[in-house]
Amino acid sequence: MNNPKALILLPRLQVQNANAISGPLTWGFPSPTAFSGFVHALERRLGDELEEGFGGVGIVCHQFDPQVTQPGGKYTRVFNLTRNPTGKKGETLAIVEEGRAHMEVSLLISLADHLDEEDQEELVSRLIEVIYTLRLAGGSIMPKRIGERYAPQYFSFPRDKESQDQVFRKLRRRLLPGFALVLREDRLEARLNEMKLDEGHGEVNALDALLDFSRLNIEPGENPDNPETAQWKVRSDPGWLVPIPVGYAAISPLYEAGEVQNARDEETPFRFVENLYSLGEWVSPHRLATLQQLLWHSETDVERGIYRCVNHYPQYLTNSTQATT
Amino acid sequence: MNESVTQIKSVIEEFLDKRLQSKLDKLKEGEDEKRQKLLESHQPGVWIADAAHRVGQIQQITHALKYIHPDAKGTNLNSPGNSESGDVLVGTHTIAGRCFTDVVGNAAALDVYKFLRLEVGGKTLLSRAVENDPALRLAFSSDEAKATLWMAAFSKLTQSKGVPASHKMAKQIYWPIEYKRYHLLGPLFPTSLVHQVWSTIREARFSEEAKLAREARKQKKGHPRGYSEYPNLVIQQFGGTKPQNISQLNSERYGENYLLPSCPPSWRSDPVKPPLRVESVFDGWFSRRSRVKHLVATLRGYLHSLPADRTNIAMRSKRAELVGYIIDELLLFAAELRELDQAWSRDEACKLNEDESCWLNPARAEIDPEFSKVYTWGDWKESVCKRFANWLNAQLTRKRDPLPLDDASAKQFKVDLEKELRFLRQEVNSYE
Amino acid sequence: MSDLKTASVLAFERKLDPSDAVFSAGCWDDKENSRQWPDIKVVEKSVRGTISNRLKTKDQDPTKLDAAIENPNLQTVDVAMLPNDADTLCVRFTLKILGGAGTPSACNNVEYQKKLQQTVQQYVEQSGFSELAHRYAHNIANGRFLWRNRLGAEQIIVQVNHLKNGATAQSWSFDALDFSIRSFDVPRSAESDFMAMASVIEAGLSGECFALLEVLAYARVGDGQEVYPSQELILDRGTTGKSKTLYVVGDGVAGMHSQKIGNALRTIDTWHGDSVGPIAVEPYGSVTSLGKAYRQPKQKIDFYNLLDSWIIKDKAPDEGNQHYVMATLVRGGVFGEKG
Repeated sequence: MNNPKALILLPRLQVQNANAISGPLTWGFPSPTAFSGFVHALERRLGDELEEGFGGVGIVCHQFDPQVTQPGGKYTRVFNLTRNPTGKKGETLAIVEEGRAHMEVSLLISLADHLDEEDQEELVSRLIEVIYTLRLAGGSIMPKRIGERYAPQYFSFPRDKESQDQVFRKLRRRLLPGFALVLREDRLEARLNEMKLDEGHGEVNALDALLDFSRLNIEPGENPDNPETAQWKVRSDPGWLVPIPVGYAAISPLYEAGEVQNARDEETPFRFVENLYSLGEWVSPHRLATLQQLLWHSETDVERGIYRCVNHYPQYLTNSTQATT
Repeated sequence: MNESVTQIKSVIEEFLDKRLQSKLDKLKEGEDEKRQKLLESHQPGVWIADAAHRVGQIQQITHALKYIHPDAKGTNLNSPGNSESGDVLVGTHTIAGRCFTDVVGNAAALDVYKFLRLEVGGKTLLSRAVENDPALRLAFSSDEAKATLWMAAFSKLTQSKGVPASHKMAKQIYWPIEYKRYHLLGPLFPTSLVHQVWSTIREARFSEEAKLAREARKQKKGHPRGYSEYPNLVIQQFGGTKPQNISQLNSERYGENYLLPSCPPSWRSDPVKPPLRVESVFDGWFSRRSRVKHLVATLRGYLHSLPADRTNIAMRSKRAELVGYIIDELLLFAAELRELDQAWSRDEACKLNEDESCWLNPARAEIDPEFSKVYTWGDWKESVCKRFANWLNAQLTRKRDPLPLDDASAKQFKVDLEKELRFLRQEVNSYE
Repeated sequence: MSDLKTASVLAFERKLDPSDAVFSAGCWDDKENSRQWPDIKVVEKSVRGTISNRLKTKDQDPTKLDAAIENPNLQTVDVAMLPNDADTLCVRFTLKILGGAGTPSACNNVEYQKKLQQTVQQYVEQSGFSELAHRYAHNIANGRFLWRNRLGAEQIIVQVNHLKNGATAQSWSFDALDFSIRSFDVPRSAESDFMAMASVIEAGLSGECFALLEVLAYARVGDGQEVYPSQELILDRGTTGKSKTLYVVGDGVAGMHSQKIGNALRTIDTWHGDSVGPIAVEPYGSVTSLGKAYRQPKQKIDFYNLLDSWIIKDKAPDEGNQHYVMATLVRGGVFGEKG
């Protein structure tokens, strides 16, 4: 949906005990797929109230409180776990490590319908009822803060680009203080190409490039003042670039409904998949010049077996830097 | 071909001899009957027949279900990943062709797996079995029917057992395809890919090479190569005290998985407190914020690393980017304080100047008419931007440590900086 | 109906959804201003441990023992205390009560789901959720969720606000020590308030929407006394780690895990046949602190056996165990057939 007619802001959702293991390679903030799944569930629950339904979703995080501990004398962290009920003999069961985090997020949802004023009010009051009955990334949404600033809000979205950007600029201030999650596949690709050119790296792949963003590279250099000693430098990226799971890739054929044992239902085709990873960036909302830079959309290619979320942040950058004005 | 037959035979014999010897060594004096049994069972024909029988208890895989829950039983897969994902998205396909393989199933049958991983002429016995290699068949037995049967049994090592199955504990996701139509997606744990990441990080943390480089840095000495640190890793444990129950590679990883952080910057926020007892937030209050401190140091370091007489586009844009991040921090800082509902700047302990009070405490305008006037009509917006510009300037140009810029470059920097400040002014001016 | 099988995937979402609780401190007589009370912060404390573990034989050399005593293992632990000028702990949490109990979030057997829904419908028509709501309400009013903080308290008041659209629609207050933690009898004087609260919970469980309660418990434990937030479960404590880590919310504020609050609220199972008193609703009636399970599959009083005979064999359990089965569905979990 390229032309949203309206926007819904769900400001400052307090999420308790969200899943902090976003995939087999990462911990921290949940995957964008968890948010598009939430928006989809919301759309289903609203049912008839929307004709065209929801489009993309913008994800902004205000607070993030992962339940982790750094054990004394260690460089790495561990998850704080929860005590599980014992087994039938009263024995302690093997602990399945679950990572949890509390977070405060705002979601901006684009809408293909335009509603009249009465329906807008109806929609907003339904939203308040429905949101708290849903789970977001496995966590509970807690009504913690009360007041207009925290109530869902409907915005009409004008047709022409200029007025759209104007509305959006006003709106994005509601997203502060916080950071928006955007996709930086462009940077991952650029780094991959740099590394390929760089001699001595041998065969390089996107995993090497992704890991390069996740580490501090500490490299020796000459010390101009004293050639006897070396000056070591830490190379890291100044932005807030993080590996993120962006969806799934099929690793099996599509099985017909009912063919796979213990599937969640017998009416839906089933596919075994694995997580796909890319690079994300946390940007300050006022760096977003246009709505499209914020929104995530799900994109499916059944033939190729790709089920993923995309975001078009870099396409709207005016030059190679972040500054957009 | 005869040559490879002989080679294969001798590799198999060597493998069996070693296994036999280690078992014989454990025998006590006088256990002759046991000794005899061991000798018989390690005859190639006998052992291979038994192995072909036991191979069904294990499966070579790249993707496992059990990691998701130790009780979960169902389909495990041996897959090179999905090559349609392309070169930039990361998945098992990224390392296809040179990835570690894992094995699940009865741990007592792991010797069969080791046997099939034996390499002759750059090829594992497994791939020879899969390819139906005649040399392997001849090496196995002169009885062709027997050998064919064994080959077929071994070649099934990578195949899933039974009908495709997920599990009640496994994650299953409804993915919308089109209006009210879904696919159920069952993610499996990519143990091969995980092993690649684990090995890379492990190497960076504990290898001899990395230790030497760390030591060299400590002593400020040169070294042929650098090293790397992976900050904020979380270690996730699988299988508790019995990692081997999950899979072979899990056991080799000591049941550990290194998880990379994807946390937002707000993870380590400085607490939001009204700036009391300072005349200006630019007197150390703002610069004490951890990210600001870090960014200013990075920017200063970068500026010092640039050549004094020439800067290219890439350098200029990186410089601008860094300044941009500091401005982001300023706007974030202001947004945090502007959100506080109280008129905290009226507090007696608050010494903040009027301009910054307007900027950071708009809530006060609602209850303080005098203040409201200044807020509405004053030129605090311009003044705040100036204060920031002065502050940034002071951070970057220290008397003892001036920036290495010639006149032309300094001018250029000023122009670039002005552009970034314009962005700030625009933002501050749009405050309502 | 005889060939009906349990669904291999059967899951229910939690319908009683409490938030974490946060601790603040103030004076008993100032309860009405508790929203301005300062948070209680968790602090680290060093304790000098003594040698209490049995020394290995080779360490029993007296000189070695002396050396060990001179180097007592210095440990740090977390503690949370009331300040010296505050005698009252305030524990605050919110509780969401969601409708649709008994409707699975996942079930891969259509026939089974139909039968399940019929059975739940019958239960709702016969008993409704009034018995469960009564018991949940009781565990709010009696302050069971205060856990150890309930023990040393001289007075406890539990205030409950029913929130609607961000505003307090009704408010009740209970003297927690008047309520038993062994039985579910309601003191006369509190009856009408109690019934009003229980009916909100009942409406929440049976309704389409959700009910939201805010609970504020005031426990007068005395100036400067220690209070007890949840303890964290950390498997790897490292080499110099502390031996006790308390749960903190946000900026170091002492808190109680939502799971722990939930466990107290669903401590309503007295139908297991043992004299131990109410235990938390769990599939095997397990009580972690006692390392014991009160609902043994052998005796066919565990959740799985009861549910199977109810749904598959049309043998409804006695009334108490019907409540237990429904309460387990309210608790939520993944319950598919074994395998």
